Amino acid sequence: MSFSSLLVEEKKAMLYVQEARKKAQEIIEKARAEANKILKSAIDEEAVRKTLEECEKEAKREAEKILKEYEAKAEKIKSVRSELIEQAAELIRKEVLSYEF
Amino acid sequence: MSSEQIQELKEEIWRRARKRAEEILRNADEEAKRIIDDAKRRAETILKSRIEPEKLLIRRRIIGKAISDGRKMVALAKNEIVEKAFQRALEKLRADAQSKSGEYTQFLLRSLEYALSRFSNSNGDLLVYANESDIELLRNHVSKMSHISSSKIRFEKADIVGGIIVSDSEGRKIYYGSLEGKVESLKPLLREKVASILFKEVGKG
Repeated sequence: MSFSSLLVEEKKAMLYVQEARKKAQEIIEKARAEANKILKSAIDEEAVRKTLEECEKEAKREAEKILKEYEAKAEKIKSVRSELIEQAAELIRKEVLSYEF
Repeated sequence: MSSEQIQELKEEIWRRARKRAEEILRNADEEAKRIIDDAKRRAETILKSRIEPEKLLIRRRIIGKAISDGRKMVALAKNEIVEKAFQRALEKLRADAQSKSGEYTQFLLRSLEYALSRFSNSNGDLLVYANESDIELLRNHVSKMSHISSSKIRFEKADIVGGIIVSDSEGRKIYYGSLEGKVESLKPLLREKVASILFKEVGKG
């Protein structure tokens, strides 16, 4: 082995590092492109429209659930026991007939 | 320099090169992550300032309407049941009037006395409208009232469940004391009591 072979090895190592630099540059460029894509999606009208549409759909689903809950409550109210209607009617009857003029 | 020394130097050159390359790639990965994270944060900020207010409006409009419709539905259901109770009460009162129950008779005569006291300043005849089956009872009662001249009072049958309607001869002053009228006039006062009986098992809302 000679000193010149060391120089050759040194050059190869430098190329290896250079290759890594090139790869690093590619990684960063790829990240910048991805970042641009992300930012574009935030200002993209179509994306905004789709997001709002999705929000509307979700709100409608929620609204349907809320209405069903109220419907169930209304049904429960309507299915009041007949004894209670009788009790209330009796109260009204008594109040009317005992009315003090 | 011996060949062993040269070999050692070569290994050292490669060790350093590999270390450097690893460092460069690690830094690049970190920088890439920072760039993307930063973009995500900025995008989120942009979206928040643009979309969130609109999202809020959409939710308020749709969910607000559902809540309002739902409350209306519940209120209508309650109203329906309260009305049912009042209808049932009227049926019971009709039965009272038909059977001339003690409570009804007392109500009818008290109502008559009150009405006549309100017309005590009237000089002309009075018209007392009542259910046909009550007229005899009312006539008898008037005849027993010493301070009333029964000749001034005329009885007419009316299509009412019970109670009386009294008017002066010119129809200028009228007293409405029918049973159905009494139920209607007491409705606003009784509604809450009635609702508390009917919906005690449903809870508030």
